[in-house]
Amino acid sequence: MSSDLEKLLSGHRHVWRGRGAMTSRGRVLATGFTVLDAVLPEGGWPADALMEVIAPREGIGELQLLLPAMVTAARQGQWLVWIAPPYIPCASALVASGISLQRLLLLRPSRQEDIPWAMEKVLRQRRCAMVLAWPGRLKPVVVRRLQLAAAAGQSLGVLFQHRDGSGSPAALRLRLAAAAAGLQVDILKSRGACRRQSIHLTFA
Amino acid sequence: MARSAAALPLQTSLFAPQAVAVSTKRCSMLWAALFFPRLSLEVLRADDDAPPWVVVHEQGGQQVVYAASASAGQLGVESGMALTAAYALCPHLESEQRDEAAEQACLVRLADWAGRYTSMVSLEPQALLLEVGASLTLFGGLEAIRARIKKDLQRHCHDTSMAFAPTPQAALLLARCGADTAVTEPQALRAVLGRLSLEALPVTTKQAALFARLGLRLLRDLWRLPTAGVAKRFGVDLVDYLDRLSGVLPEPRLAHQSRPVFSARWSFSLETDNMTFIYHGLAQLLPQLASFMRLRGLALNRLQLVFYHTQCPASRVELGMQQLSDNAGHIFKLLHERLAQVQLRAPVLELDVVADEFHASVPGNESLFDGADGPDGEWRQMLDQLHVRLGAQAVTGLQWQADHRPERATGFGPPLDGEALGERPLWLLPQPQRLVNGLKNITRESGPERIESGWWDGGDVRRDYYRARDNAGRRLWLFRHLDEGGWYLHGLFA
Repeated sequence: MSSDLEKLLSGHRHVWRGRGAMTSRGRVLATGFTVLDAVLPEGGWPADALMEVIAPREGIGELQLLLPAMVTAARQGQWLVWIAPPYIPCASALVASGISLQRLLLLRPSRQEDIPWAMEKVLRQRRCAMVLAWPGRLKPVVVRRLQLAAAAGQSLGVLFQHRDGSGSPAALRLRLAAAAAGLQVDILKSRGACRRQSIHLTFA
Repeated sequence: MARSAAALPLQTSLFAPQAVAVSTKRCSMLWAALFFPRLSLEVLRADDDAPPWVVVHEQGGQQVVYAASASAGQLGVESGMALTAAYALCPHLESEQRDEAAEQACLVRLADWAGRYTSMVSLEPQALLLEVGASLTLFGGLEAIRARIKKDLQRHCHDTSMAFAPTPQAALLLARCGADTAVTEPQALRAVLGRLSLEALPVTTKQAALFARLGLRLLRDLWRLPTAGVAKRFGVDLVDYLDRLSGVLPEPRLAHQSRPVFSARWSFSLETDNMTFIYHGLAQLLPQLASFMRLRGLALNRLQLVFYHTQCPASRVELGMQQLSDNAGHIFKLLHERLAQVQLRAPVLELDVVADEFHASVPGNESLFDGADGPDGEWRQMLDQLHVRLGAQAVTGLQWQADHRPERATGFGPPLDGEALGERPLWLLPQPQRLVNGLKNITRESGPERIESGWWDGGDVRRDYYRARDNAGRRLWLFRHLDEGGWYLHGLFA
């Protein structure tokens, strides 16, 4: 009886069972950092959810954090979409890190309100692995829509924010801070885990 | 071919149109050929009484006269002559390059017009072939239809010669010879054709020379020779042609089809500017458009909506798509996005959906299994939606460009892969940003990498690049301008 119950509960990701008991694995994208994979409750970036990355400023390594996952997705022939990037992505650097430009789509909407619209459209496509967006401030309602779109399209949406807007419905929320030889990652919220955790990553 | 030509009845009334005996019996097949000998001139200049001029085309690297105007013809200029030779005959000769596309377009227009006489119109170079045998009863006989075509042709201002014959090639040949004649009986055909000069046949110069050497002048002379010998000397193609000419071999022809045009209208019971009603109208019209395209195997990438108002003139909305589509649902979605950007000028009374630019539809393969990829079509449809709402310049890929200058090494456009050049940051600033305080609060980590390039195109660059780090922990890509010594921020190792 208890094993049946165990099976039932563990198969259900919407049932939260207190500390560390989450064993269900949805589709997951390996982060490429073993430290991070160990800490994240699902064992990697969730492949069908929205994730919020709070970095006070650009250039502290926020793309390095996602780069290994992007490389894996690109190798599998899936699309990467960047929406409204704050600067120009450098083609040479992307090629050097192993991302083929053939599967990279760049959207640069001229109006702010088109960013979440475009993101939702792209997230619903199953051919797309990751959608990176720099949307500025978003209402929680909009974030929730994007979260649902990501779940429907089984793609990972990443929202880059400068400030921590409280009460965001994103499945995973990280705060980044620059550290001496890498990056300080605070996991503010993650589906299926209760503790806030903080780890330090070093980049090669 | 084995039959002797002498055994055939000779028609005495050759080239005398009025005297041709018109059979009252209904003819199974009767072809009218309309030949436009001066088409290449007529499409370029409307009036011919100007100074002598010619249409030239290039042949073997040489400008050769293709057609000469009447006044040039009087001076001895004729087609096939080198332009330099024509200048010798007529020093103030004007010349224009031949416009084949315009000729073809003109011919297609004429073919559309000729659709009023018969459903079977076929295009030939400089000529049209009309199967009028089936239309004789409708128009009241051969003479009637002939007079009518002639009268209608006058409005088109084309120099035309017309001939009727039971086989298309015979009609064409007679028209090309300028014989304003009508042969209705297949038995009479050989007699009429037999008197034509062999020069009129569409043959190569080598074959024409061989005709002369063998002393053959008329088509009849050729017919008298044994078929096997003709095939051996002139090739099977000529024998084939002669058989099609006399009707021994049938000649199925491709019918000209006029360009499909779709137009459908939706009338609102009241004037409305409520988009819900307008979308409802569209939802009724678009399936009609889709079935129109399905039936013909077509797809479109351009569509027009015309809104009719009571107070002001009609307004138009164009929809352009990146990919061809024949899917009503997809087109509706795109129109939804497109109309969201448009402000209607006034309430709408009627709505037209107009499409006149169709392409052959190439349906893709459906995937056998519902793979994780999903169908390719969905992705392309989404790209279309993004294009319509965000604008074409906002939806791009990233291009690797072969240039050492970082600002020119990345471009927006269709994706293009290349190789990595040195160590580059992921973020590039659109413009290098001058560091006003120099290297204050910044520590250099590695470098320099010197980039010196572009002296040949005016974008001269002489820089020393460094990796550095500022107090806030940002990892920077800086350069020192080697000419003026200033420090600039050019990228971020994000």
